[in-house]
Formats: sequence, structure tokens, C-alpha cells
Amino acid sequence: MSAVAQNLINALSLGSLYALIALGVALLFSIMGLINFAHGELIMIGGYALLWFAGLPFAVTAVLVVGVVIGCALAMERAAFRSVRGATGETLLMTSFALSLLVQGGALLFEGADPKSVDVLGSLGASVEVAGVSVGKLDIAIIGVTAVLLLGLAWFLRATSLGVQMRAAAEDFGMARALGVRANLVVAAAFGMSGAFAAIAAIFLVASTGALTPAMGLKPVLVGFVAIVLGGLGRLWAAALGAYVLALLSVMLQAYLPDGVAPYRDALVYFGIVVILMFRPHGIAGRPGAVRV
Amino acid sequence: MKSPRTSRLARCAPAIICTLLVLAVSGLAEAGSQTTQRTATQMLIMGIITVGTYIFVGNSGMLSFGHVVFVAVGAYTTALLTMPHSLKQALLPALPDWLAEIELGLPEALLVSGLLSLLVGAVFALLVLRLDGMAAGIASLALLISVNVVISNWDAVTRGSQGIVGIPADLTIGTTVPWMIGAIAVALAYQLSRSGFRLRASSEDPIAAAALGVRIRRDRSIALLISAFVCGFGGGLYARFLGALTPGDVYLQLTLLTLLMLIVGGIRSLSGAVIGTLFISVLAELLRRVEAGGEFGPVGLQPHPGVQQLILALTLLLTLLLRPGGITAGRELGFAVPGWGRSSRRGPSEPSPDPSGLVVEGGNGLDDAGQAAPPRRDPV
Amino acid sequence: MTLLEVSGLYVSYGPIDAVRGASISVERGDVVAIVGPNGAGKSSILQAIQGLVRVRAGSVRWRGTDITGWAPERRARAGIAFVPESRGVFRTLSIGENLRLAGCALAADVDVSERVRLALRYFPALTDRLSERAAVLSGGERQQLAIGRALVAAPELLILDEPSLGLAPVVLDELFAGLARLRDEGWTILLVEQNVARAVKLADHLFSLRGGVIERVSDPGELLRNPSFRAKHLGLG
Repeated sequence: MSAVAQNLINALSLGSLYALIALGVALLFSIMGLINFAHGELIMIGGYALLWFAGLPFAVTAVLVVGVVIGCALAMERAAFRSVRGATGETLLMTSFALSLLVQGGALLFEGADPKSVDVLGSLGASVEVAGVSVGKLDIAIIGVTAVLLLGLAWFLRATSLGVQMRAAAEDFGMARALGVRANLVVAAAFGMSGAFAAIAAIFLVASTGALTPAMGLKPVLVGFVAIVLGGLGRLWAAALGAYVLALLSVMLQAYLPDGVAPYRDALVYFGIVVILMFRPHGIAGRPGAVRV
Repeated sequence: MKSPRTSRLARCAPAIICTLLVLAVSGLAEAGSQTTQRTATQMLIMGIITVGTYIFVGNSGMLSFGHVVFVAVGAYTTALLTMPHSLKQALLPALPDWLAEIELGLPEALLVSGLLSLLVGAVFALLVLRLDGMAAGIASLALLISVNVVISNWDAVTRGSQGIVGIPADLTIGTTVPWMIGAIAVALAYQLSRSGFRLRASSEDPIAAAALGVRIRRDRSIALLISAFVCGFGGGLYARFLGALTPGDVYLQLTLLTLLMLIVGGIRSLSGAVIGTLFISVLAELLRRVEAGGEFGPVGLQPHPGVQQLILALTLLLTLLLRPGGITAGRELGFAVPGWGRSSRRGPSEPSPDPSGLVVEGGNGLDDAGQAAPPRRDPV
Repeated sequence: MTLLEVSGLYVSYGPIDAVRGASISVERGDVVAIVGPNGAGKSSILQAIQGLVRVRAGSVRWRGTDITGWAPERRARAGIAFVPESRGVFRTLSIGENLRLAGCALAADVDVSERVRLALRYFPALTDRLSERAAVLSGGERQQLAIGRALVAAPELLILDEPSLGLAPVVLDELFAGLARLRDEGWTILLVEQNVARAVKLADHLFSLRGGVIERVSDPGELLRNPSFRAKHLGLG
């Protein structure tokens, strides 16, 4: 019983981290059809920013990290994505891919290829007993912060004028503009929010691994991609759902696969996702109909 | 009217010119140092892989992140089939006997590599081609990850992340060039075939493609199979070039490099694939030397790791922003080709006469002022 | 005063010219209708005016200023409101959110709620349903919402693309009665309409578009009596 509970908590914690990443990617996809490879580099920048601002009180560091990453996200939009806005998904994807390599190259140049380590949340390394289950404080923090952010995002999209404009732009960008919605404002807002999610994901990611490398963003961003495709492309909440399903799948396989097969867990997870897509080409929560030819 | 002979010549012109280009660069490299020759050999193998990927990506207009799977299958197959028997026993004691016994010549091993990749390609076609656009791209990526995990852990056959060593590394420019020319010939033959023509036409006119639905999936499958075959071949040669093969050699780095070559060269034409390979290979080699540091005549350079990636990425970014069709802008080299006129003049990669110059491949082609909506998508 | 002046407009989709050298002008207070067969390029002209398609050649002038290169949102702020053929209702937004969205085109100090209330006078049926999702609306209701939403922005020019498309006859009567009321209240309207008989009754001026080329119809009444036009456009013998 407690083993199951333990696994569920692990899945929830991992899923929360995945959801933070996936939502950052999904925000941009739903607004402008961009699958952003460079989101991984935003996470990477967030990681290194933790190192730059280490030593300050944690709250100050966190705010600075979020600020730096949002700034970088906005800079990416201005420098690269604005010129290709309205292009096909493939062109956007490739642009983001180029940007991702570029930023990674920059990190290699300035930070070197060797892994660096940073201790983010010293005391959160401990764990507490809850009803006979040992739960890491970090897990609790990840789950809690993600829940708050998800609720906050839902509130923002429902209750604020900018949020409504973003939802309208996600449904039909051209019509939204014809009604006076400022394209640049909406896209910048989406990039800014995406950056904030990336920064927070970076803090939790680095808190749990402690290691920094220029290529550290790749794995998380792939997870994000897979989660949004699995959930249903273009739908924000489906991306979060996809993230939790992906995490559940990987934690459960980790726990219950026989020893000989265990190393192949990720292969099974990713292959399983392709198979799920075979039966549900629009993702778990996706709807057919709005398919682009 | 042109006589049939001139028109056939004209249709083959891109391949002929590409071949001449490849021969010229290879010939130049032959006169260079050992390092230069090795780089040129690697360039030729990259060329085969890039042209192989092009056969699917360029003709169908679908992005694939999974083609390195075929390269991986080909590479490990050739490695295992051509390694000396004794070495295999020492390195891979758990290998099944029949596999440990086999010791094939390179051409036979490459053929088996190609065929195995073709089989994997069939599975790919089944799994991925039902999905549309972006989902297909991500699914192919998921398959790449999944295959890489298998390769990294299948100790009995691949020696896991330690990798296989002792693969006979005997390729030279001279022995690689014929394979490269072969790949170009296959690519040209496919794109001139009925299936290739239908596939190109459909990717340029998505509405017609939707109307043709089922047929298009068949043509996509054909392109994918041929593409997988060529990539498998390329993978085999890659293994023989490297001499030592680890899972990391046939993973994301290689995928990204292939796409870089395709896009910078021009993803919609065979000439683009070849020119992209030549251009990026030469650039990458120059940058590698700069990155490593050392004396360049009077100039002394500090080692700068990251410079290569930085400049290559910048090249890709500037290509996408300023010349979205790549160097060739979707055109083939050579003289005007009958029957190609429409696709090359009106291809979606053709920058339109919009003065802003911010028109993007296949997009709505809008500048900041007169923009239209991106294609409709599912709402939030 | 000439509010809108389109001259020598070309709109192309790839190799195909949808509009070839169209010129129209709309005076303040006018109701102008463009009629013509399917595929004649009528919608393209309207989309070009709103900035939703790229103009290959020609110009769009708004109150004397060249706005050909303006972004759509800037045109909306300048006082042009557009109701597309598809109505452009956001299905995932509530009816109220749809209406308030048009407030984006208004200056920051304008009370959007007040504007919404004024617009709802024309479509009282929507008043009680503001929190419902727009996806639940019928075709006619959707049209009401789209026009109502356009009115929230208090536009100087209201552009309607095929307002009668897909509506039942009863709803159609209501729609045109509503449009007549807007006309009588002095709104300036530019519409594309396949239902020529209705368009002729509503409009002060009529343009006919065939094969991307536009012509001014000097006497709409004459058009209705012209046997060959009746046969071609109205399907009447």
C-alpha cells in the first residue's frame, strides 16, 4: 500500500515538473503554432542564472532567475521569432532549433562544457513522514508550486482582459487582430509566461539534480514536446494532462518492470507514446476536426 | 520542342552537376593532408545520409527527426557483419553464434544494412505516417529516443554505451565516392518517378493532397522506405569510417547535423541536400580548426569550444530568416527542366516579390504590417 | 466625406489573382454592397481592407490616409470593424467575453461595459446569455453576436462579409431588418452579399464584381429589371 502511495507521489512530483515544462511549450504552440526547441535553453539559462546569483537569499535569487529567463524569452521573440511569425510550423520549429543550438554554443563558449554544480534548496533535501510514507520536501514544493501556478494560469486566462485576448488569439489569431487585439502584445505575453514557467522548472530541475551543463535543456524540452503531443496538440490543459500521464507511465514502469527489462524503461515509454498516438492521432484529449492539412 | 534525349539529359542535370561538384571537392581534398582527406570522407558519408533523409523530407515536405534511426540500424549491422570473428568473440561473448560466425565483405554487409533499415522503415511508416505534420515530427523523435535507449542498453549485441570498437576503418575518398554518387542517382530516380512526382505535387498543394488522402500515404511510405534504405547504407559506411561506434554517434547530434545541412542547402531540392552537405562540412571543418586553436600563419588563436556550434547555428538561423528556401531556394541546379517548371518557379519556398523580404517558406508570407493569421489550430 | 477609398487593388493567392484592379469608395453614412458570383473575389476585397490578406498592388485609404501597410489591429483601432463570412465568433470564449474582446479596439478610457450594453440593445436576446459559451449558439445567433461585437467598437465603418450566408429565411428577414435599422441610424456599412435582391433594397450604392474586376452599378433598380442579370445572379428567369 505504502509502496503504491510512494510511487504515486513520485509520479505526481515528476508530473508536476513535466507539466511546468510542457505548459511553457504549449503556451507558445497554442498562440502561434511554435514548438519551441529553445525552451530547453531557457531552462538551461535559468540553471546557470541560479549559479550566477548563488549566495543571495533564496527568494531574491529566484526572482532574479525568473526575471533573467523572461528577459531572454522576450529577446528570443524579438530577435528571431517575430520575423517568422505566421510561417509554417516546420519553419518555426527549425528557427527555434537554430536558436537552441546558438544559445547552447554561447553557453559552451562562456561557461565551458564541463558540468558545474549548484546547491539550490539545501534544506529541501530532507523528507517528512506523511501517513507512513516518506515524502521529500522538494517533492512537496514542486507539487504545491505547480498547483498554484496552474490555478494562477487558469485564473489569468479567464479573468483578465489579456488572458481573454490570448485565448482568442489561440483560437483564431487573424480574427482576434481584426477586433483590435495587438499581436505583438499577445505574443510577447505568451513568451514572457513561457519564460517564467521555464525559470521555475529550471529551479526545481537543478534543485533535484544539482548539475549544470550547456546541453541540460535538451532532455526536459523533449519531455515537454512528447507531453504536449501526447495530451493533444494545441490545447493547454491537455499538455498538463499529457505531462502527468507521461510521468505516471515512467514511474510505474520503473517500479514494476522486471529487472531484465528495467533499463529499457524509457524505450518503452516513448514507444508506448507513439503507439498511443497511433490510436489517438490527436492525443489523449485532442479533438479531430481542427486538423491542419 | 526539345528532343527526348535533351529532355532526359535536362532531367538528370541536377544529379550530374551535383556529382561533378562532389567529385571536384573530393578531388581537391585528395590533394590535401591526411586530416583533410579524412574530413572529405566524412563529408561524403554525411552526404549519403543527408541525401537519404532528403528523399523523404524533401519530397514529402514532412519533417522527420527519426532518420538517424535508420543510420543507427545500418551502422550497427555493418559493424557486426564485417568485424573479424575473433574480435567479436572477445568483445561480445553473448552474441548469438550465427551472428558471431558471420564475416561479410563491405558491399554485402551494406546491402543487409540497407534492407534491415528498410524493414525498420516499414515499421516507421506504419506508426508515424498516420499522424499529421507536427505530431509526426515529434513521434519520429520519440522513436529515435526509444531506439537509442535500446542501443544503449542491449549489451549482448551493441555493448551498450561502451560501444563497439575494432570495426575495420578502411574507407578512403576513392572508395566512398561511388556510394555517394549511387545515393544521388537513387534520389534523382525517385523524384523523377511517378510516385515522387505525386508526392511533391501533394506537398505543394495540401488541399489536393487531402483530397487524395490514401494515395498520398502510400507515396509517403514509398519515399520513406527508399529513404530508410539509403540511410541504412550511409549508416553502414559511417560505422566503417568511425571504426568505433557508440550510441551517441547515432543520436541527436547527427540528427541535428543532417537537418542543418538540408535546411541550409535547401530542403526542397536534391541539389540543396548536396550543396548543404558540402557547404556545412567545409564550414564545420574550418570552425573545428579555429575552435581547437593554434597557429594560423601569423595569427595565434586560443581554443574556443562552442565557436563551431555557435557559428553553425547562426548560419542556420540566418538562412531561415533571410533565405528561407536555403541556398538553392528549392531550385535544382542545371538548365530549365521541362515538367519541373511549376514546382521550381512556384514552389512554396520561393521568396515572393514582397519588398519586405520577410516571406517564409510555405507560410502565409506576411510582413509585420499586413499580417494574416497563422493556420487555425485547436483552441486552448 | 470619403471614408474609405480602395484603388487599383490586386490580391493574389500564389499564381492566381483573386482581385484585379478593384476600386471602391465609401462615403460616410453610405451603405455600399458588392455583389457577384461565387469566387469572384468579393471576400478578398473585404479582407484586404481589414488587412487580413496581403495586397499585391493598389492602395487602401482611410479618411485620406494610406493604410495599405497597416496591421489589422491598427485598422480596428482606427474605426474599421469586420464581420467575416465565418462570423469569426470565438467558440471557446463566452458570449460576454466575445463582446468585450471588441473593446480592444477602443481607447483605454472608454467604458467597455457601457459599449457592450449599447450594442446589446440591437440584440436583446443575447443579454441573458452572456456567460454561456459561444459554441452553443445557432447560426443566426452567432451572426447576431458577430455583428453585436463589431458594434461594441463603435466603428466608423462596419464591414460584413456575406451576412446572409447559411441563414434560414425567417432569420434572414430579421437580419436585414436589423441592417436597415443600422442604416437608418446613420451607420456606414460595406457588405458583400450574394442575395442581390436584398442587397439592392438595403444599399445606397452597388458594385458588381466578376472575375476579379469590379464595376459600379449606376442604377440598382435597373439591374433588378435587367433580364440577363436576373438570370445570372438571381437565378430568376
